[in-house]
Amino acid sequence: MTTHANTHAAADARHYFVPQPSLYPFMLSGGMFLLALGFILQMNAFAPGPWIMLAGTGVIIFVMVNWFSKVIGENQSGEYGQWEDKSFRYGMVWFIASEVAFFAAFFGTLFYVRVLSVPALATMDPAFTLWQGFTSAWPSAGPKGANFTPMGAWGVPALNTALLLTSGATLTWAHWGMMKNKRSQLNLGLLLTILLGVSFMGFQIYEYHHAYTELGLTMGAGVYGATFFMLTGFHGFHVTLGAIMLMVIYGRCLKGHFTAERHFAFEGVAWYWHFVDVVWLGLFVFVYWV
Amino acid sequence: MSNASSLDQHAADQHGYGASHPSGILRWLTTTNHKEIGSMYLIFALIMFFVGGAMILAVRAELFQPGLQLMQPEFFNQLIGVHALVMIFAALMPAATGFANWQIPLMIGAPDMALPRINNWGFWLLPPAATLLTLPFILALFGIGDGAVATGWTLYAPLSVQGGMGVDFAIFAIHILGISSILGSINIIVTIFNLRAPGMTMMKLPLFCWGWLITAFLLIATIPVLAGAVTMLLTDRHFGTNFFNAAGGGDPILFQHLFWFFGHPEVYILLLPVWGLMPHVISTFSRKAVYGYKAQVYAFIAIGVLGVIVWAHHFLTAGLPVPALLYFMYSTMAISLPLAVLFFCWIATMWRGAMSFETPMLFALGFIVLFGMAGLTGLVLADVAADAQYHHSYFVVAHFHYALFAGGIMGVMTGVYFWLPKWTGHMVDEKLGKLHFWLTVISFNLTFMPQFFLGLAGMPRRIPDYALQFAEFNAISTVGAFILGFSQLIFAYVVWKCIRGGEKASDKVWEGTEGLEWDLPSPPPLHSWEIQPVIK
Amino acid sequence: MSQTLHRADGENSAAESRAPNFSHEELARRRKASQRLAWVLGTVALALYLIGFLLKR
Repeated sequence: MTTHANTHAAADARHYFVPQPSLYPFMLSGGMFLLALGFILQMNAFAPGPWIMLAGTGVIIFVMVNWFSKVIGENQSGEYGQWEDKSFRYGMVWFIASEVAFFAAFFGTLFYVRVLSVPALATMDPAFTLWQGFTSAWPSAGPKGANFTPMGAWGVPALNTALLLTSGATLTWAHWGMMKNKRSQLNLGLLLTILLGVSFMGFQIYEYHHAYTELGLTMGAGVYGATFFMLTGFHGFHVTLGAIMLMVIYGRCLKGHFTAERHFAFEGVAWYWHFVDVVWLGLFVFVYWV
Repeated sequence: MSNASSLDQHAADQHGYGASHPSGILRWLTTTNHKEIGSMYLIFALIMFFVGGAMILAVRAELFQPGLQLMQPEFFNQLIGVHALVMIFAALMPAATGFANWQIPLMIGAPDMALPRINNWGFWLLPPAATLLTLPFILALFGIGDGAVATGWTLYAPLSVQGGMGVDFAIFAIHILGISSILGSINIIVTIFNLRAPGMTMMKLPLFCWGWLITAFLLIATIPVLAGAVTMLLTDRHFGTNFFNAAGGGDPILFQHLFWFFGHPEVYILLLPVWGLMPHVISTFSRKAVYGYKAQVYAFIAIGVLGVIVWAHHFLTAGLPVPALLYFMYSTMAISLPLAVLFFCWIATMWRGAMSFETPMLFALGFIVLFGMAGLTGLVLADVAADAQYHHSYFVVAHFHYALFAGGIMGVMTGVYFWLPKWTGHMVDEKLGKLHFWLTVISFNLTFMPQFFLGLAGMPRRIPDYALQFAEFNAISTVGAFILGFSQLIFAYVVWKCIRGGEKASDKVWEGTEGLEWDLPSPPPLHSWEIQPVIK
Repeated sequence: MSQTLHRADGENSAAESRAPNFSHEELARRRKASQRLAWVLGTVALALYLIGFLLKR
């Protein structure tokens, strides 16, 4: 290890932006604490639960709005240079990496039950099984699960796939517009992306309603219902987040933010949106189709 | 904290940062400074170390004799589970993150951590999470709920699906702790990748930073999986899903897979920062350059990779198919190869060195010997045939306390004794430090060595009562545990005393040190390396 | 153990150190000692291994 330093300043010394003290992180932690506490109490049927949750959510929204406003303000006033920009990019990449791991847990669960646990239940030694005669198939609600009709792939899900893939294309088109400084193309592309994302969410809500009221497909419908709603539910939650993020940068574009050179927020949101897109392709193939 | 405030006054004047800097408690709530956040992490870890320690002393008191003396089994179960969660998530991990916060910017010549507000958020998520973990104890006193999580820290389904409100508290505590860890990891990765001083290539990066880099990757890869697992647990408990219920096509073993996919890398998450700091300490007090820098870096990477593909050795007796058993046995044993590389490098660094034995060096040497025993007993446990007998016995308890107390906690103490003079500007009381070391080492072995024999003789873990033939070793273990627990008060006193004052430390502090952090004054100013050094 | 004064100006001062600054003879003696100890420990470990190898239950 050679760590011999020349402590004299380099001629082109860079200055890294270290923000002033801020109360927002502490408040955000407090809001998350309230949300968690309220949720726990609510699930265990204590009356104040929902109110505490509401308070926590309020704090979280308040902080998110103000914290992001502050960051956007700092950015617009030119506090960040290329060096800080690179930090944000690395940070977003590794945040998305952690999201990949999160979805990997649920996909892993899906593959585990499809490949291992459901077939194992059907091939157990008759002397040791509670459920003789259970045959392995997918979709399955297990030996004692509720009756349900699985969700077909080629109706709403295929339409949703088309919607999300198109939204990825419109977002890239918007990106090109920004790079070529065609602001109307940028704005229109973003608006289309948001509309496509929101329609996706609308169809998901319709699909859930359909599943619960007509197909008997609920969270309690055995391990198929569990994996179905866990995977599509968390994906839908991420689409919702992504759509909010898109709306924020759309508002910023309307205000004239972002240039061809400086647009980390746009790219961060775009990466996130494409990530959500790719997760959906996995869902379409492994949850709905095969 | 008072020490830090005095040094900050000094620094604030120097850097014109004082005007908008809040004072009093607000300053600690709002700080974006890596040194202040690092101090908060370390102080929080120390407090939670005593909280978790008090819990386990109650457990050891109950186990002093056969029969139920002090508590009901339900409460006993709550204590062991929360002890583990507190020690792992609220003591060891924050301590390591505190080290990272203090040391990484100093070592790589960075002006601060890359994302300072995220850094503050990462810390301030910890007290709420610790509150969620321990609140059920207090609520139970008021007749609300039935106490804390009573499943052990592993939260195995179906017990955790059927457990009381404490499980919900644990689930959300884990969620918040997980978010904190991921934020910390992102910050560390970005800092190391983007804020290194000009000329510091990755292969000149201090080993402590390398250790933490691999730790951060492991956290990002595995903490979300734990979050997913406890989320499924939550929906199984309250929303009618059947992930871990065979009747609905799920599988309780699935929870064990998901949990240990996180849980095994977690061991390396706790230990890699310590393995990273060891070569610095050993090289300093051997007055020799680190032996095998590259070999250690590659060993870290190899352990990180192997660490995520060996998880099922934690439940070899759960009924896995034989090919899986063989795979997990051999891959687990393969980890001993890069680990042996690390041991070899530590020892080779000492070989023909002009050694002296200050407190940090004593802890480092104690670490090598005792952590070596953890590694060797781990090999025994990895053996599928032998594990059938040792699984869920006190042998396992002894093994992982050699790994996580002698490896983790003593490693952290090595770092504290080594770096505290740099942070506070005062030398540590050597006499008390050495007393603390010897009391710790002797009482640690007094506590846990008998547990190997208890486990080999067949005593299962996680029980409040036991057969009479286990009485003597349990009594010895309890006596050891109380000496061990109370000796740590010396540690707290030494730290407090060092913060308050003492012999002034020089910039270099130790005779044989090398590295950027020792070029700074002791204590360093609040903002250091605002102008980055250039590495040749 | 020599008491050294802390430099308030923050200039690096490589020479000062509270830990004993060993003389050349002392450094050499310690290098020898660590080497000797290593051989002793290695021999003990090897002996333990061989004894264990030869032991029959």
